[in-house]
Amino acid sequence: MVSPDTAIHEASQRILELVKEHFPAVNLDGYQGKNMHEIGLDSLDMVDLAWVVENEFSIKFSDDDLQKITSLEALAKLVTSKNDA
Amino acid sequence: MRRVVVSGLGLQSPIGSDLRSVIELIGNPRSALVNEDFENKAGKVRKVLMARVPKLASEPRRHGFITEDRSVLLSRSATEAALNNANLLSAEKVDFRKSMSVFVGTGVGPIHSIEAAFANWQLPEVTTYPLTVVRGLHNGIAAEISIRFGIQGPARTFAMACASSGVAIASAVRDIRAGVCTAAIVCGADTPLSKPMIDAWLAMRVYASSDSCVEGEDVGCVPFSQYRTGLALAECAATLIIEDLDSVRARGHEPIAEILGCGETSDAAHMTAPSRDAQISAMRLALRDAGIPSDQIAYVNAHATGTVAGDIAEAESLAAVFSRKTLVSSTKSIHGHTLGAAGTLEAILSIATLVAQCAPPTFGLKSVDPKCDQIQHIVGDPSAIPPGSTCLSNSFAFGGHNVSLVLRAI
Repeated sequence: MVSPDTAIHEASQRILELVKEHFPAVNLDGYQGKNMHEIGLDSLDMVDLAWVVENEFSIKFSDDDLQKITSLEALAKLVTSKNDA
Repeated sequence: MRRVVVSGLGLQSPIGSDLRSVIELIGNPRSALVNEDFENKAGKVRKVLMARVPKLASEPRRHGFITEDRSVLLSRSATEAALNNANLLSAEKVDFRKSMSVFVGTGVGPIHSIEAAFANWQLPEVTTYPLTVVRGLHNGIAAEISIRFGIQGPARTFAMACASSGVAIASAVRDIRAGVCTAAIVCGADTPLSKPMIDAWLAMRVYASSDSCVEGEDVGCVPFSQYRTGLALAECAATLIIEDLDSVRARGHEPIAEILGCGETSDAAHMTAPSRDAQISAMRLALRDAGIPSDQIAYVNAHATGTVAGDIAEAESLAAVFSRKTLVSSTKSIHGHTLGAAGTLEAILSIATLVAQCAPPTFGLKSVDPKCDQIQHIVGDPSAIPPGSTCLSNSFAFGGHNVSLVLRAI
C-alpha cells in the first residue's frame, strides 16, 4: 500500500517531467505555492496540459475538475484522487 | 507613386538561411535534393527525391502531435531573421512593428497538424487533442507572426497553391503604394514532406523518378530537360520585409532591391492545365506596372517545376514575351518545389542574382526539350548579368493562378 503522500509525490514528479517536455518555456523554479498563471501556463495551455495528463495517467477530467487545477500541486492531488477512485 | 523596396530577408530553406548563402549557391550551383527512402501505406519502399530544411533546435512531440506545426516553426524563424536583417527586431522598433502588416502565402498550410488529427482519430486509446482546431487553422502562420512580433496591422493569409506567396508580395506592394501601410512582412511557407502528401503527389504521376536512367543525363527534377521526369517537393519558409522607400531611408536603413511591378491573372480554364494566354498576360501586366519594356529584363526566374505540361506552357509563354536576349532558368532543380513558398523563395533567388550580377543555370540541364527551346536557357555555368539589371520572377499554380514580379537591385 503506497501512502497518500508518496502517491502525490510520485504524481508530482511525473507531472513536472511532462511540463518540462511539453512546455519548455515554463519556469519551474519555485513552482510550489505559485498558481498556473504565475509559472507561465495560460488557459489554452491548461486545456493542453490536462489532455497530456489525462492520456499519461489514463484518467478523465470533468469540466468541474478543470476548475480545481489551479496549481501543479493541485493537479497532482487531483490525479492521485482519480487513481484511487 | 510610392516606390516599394525589400529592406530585409530571411529564410529557413534547404539552400541556406540568408542572402549570403544564396549568393554563394548561385555562383557555385548544386542541388539540395536528395533521394530518401519512402515507405507508402502498403509498406512498399522506394527512393523519392526531396529537400528538407536542416532540423530546428526544438521540435517537441506528444502522442503523435507536433506541438507547433512545422510550417509555423519555420515561418517564425525565417521572419525573425528577416526582421533582424531589416533592422526591425530590436526593442526600440516596437512601435514601428505595430504599424506593419503581415501577408502570408501558403499552399497546404498546417498539413502536419491536420494529418496528425486524422492519425489521432485512428487511435482509440488517445483522446482527441483539444488544440486540434487551433493548430489546423490556415491562418496559424500569420497569427503567430502577428503575436510573436507585435504586428498590429492586418495579418492576411493567401492560399493560392504555388502562387500563394507571389500573390502575397503583390498584395503587399499594392497596400504600400496605396498608403495602407508603410512596411509589411511577407512570408511564404509550406512543409509538404509528410507521407500522405508525398504519396498523393506520386499518385498524380507528376513526381520526379528516381528509377529511370539515361546515360549522361540527369533524369530527376530538371526543368526544361528533354529527359526530366517530374517535380520534387521541398519544405521552406522565406520572408521578405518590404517597405516604402522613403520610410526605409528615413530610418537610415539601406534597401536591398526594388519591386518595380506585379501582374496577376487567372486562367479561368482548368484546375491543372496551364493557360499560355493568362501567363503571358500576367508577365505583360507586371512589365506595364513596372513601366519597362520586355527587352530590359536581363533574367527570368521561371516557375518551371519539371513537369512536361508546365514547362512547355511556360517556355511558350516566355517566348511570346521575351526575345533570346533575356536569360531564363528555373531554380527548382536546386531547391525543389516549395509550393506556397515558391514566390518569396524565388524572389530571394532573383534578388541574389541581381546583387551578385550572376544568374543561376537550370541545374542539371544538358539536353533542352525541343518544345522548350525557343527561349535562352542558362545551361551549365552561371551567367553574368550587367550591373543595374532588372529581372522577372514567375509563380504559376494549380487552379490557374498566375503572378509575375519585376525586381531590380537598388
